[in-house]
Amino acid sequence: MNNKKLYEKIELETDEIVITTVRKHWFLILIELSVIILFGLVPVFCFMAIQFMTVPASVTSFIMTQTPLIIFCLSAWLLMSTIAAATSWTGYYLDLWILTDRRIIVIDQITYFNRKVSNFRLERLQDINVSIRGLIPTLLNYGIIRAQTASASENNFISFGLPDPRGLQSQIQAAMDARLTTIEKIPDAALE
Amino acid sequence: MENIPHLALPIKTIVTLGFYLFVIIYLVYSVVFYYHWQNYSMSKAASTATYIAYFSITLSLLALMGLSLLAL
Repeated sequence: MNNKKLYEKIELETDEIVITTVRKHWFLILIELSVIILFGLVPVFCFMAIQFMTVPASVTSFIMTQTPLIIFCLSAWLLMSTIAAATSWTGYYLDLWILTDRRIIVIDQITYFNRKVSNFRLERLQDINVSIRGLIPTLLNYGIIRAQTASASENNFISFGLPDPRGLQSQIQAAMDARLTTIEKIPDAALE
Repeated sequence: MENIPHLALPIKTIVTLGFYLFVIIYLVYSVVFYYHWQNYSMSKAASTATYIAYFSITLSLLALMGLSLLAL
């Protein structure tokens, strides 16, 4: 992670330290890309199936005579699949979770031109719940994190598919405790 | 049914129009794609790798479409 660039893209407060940045679990993008690749290879499977089947002579002659047209259609199909894969990859990579010593920044790239950036101050966070449901999430250790904020102006947040949610929960908890300690010290320092 | 004008375009014209439509959609999508990665990516290395993968695959496929169109 290039932190200099991170600071340029997201304005951090003075002396704010990035503790960790998290993306969704790799298994989620792997599943999405695998489905798209299989979808892209459908015409190839069709041609392979035709080779093992007895097809009418007209179909065979069409394939033999219209090869450029078939290549054109195949390329168009693969191009659409590549665009679908690029969209999926963009959604995965531009979704980001940043934990700093003062707040949690949740960047949600929902679709193109639909981007949501939310800030949750650590001192206003209350309950943090982690849930890991299902066989694959349990085996690969990814799940959902929910948190409630005390502030009326900030919404509660929920993030799906985060890797090692329990580890992340303890990191948030530690950062929250540290933040509350720092805030408690500020008036004392001012009095001195 | 007899009053409906019968439009018979040769296959090459239809494919050529389809190709131009594809090129327009591809260009618009690529601009949107580039804009997002340029503006929102946190890592220059990841952006560069993504650009290389995306443009090398898609431009090759587009070139293949153009060449097969010429061979029609």
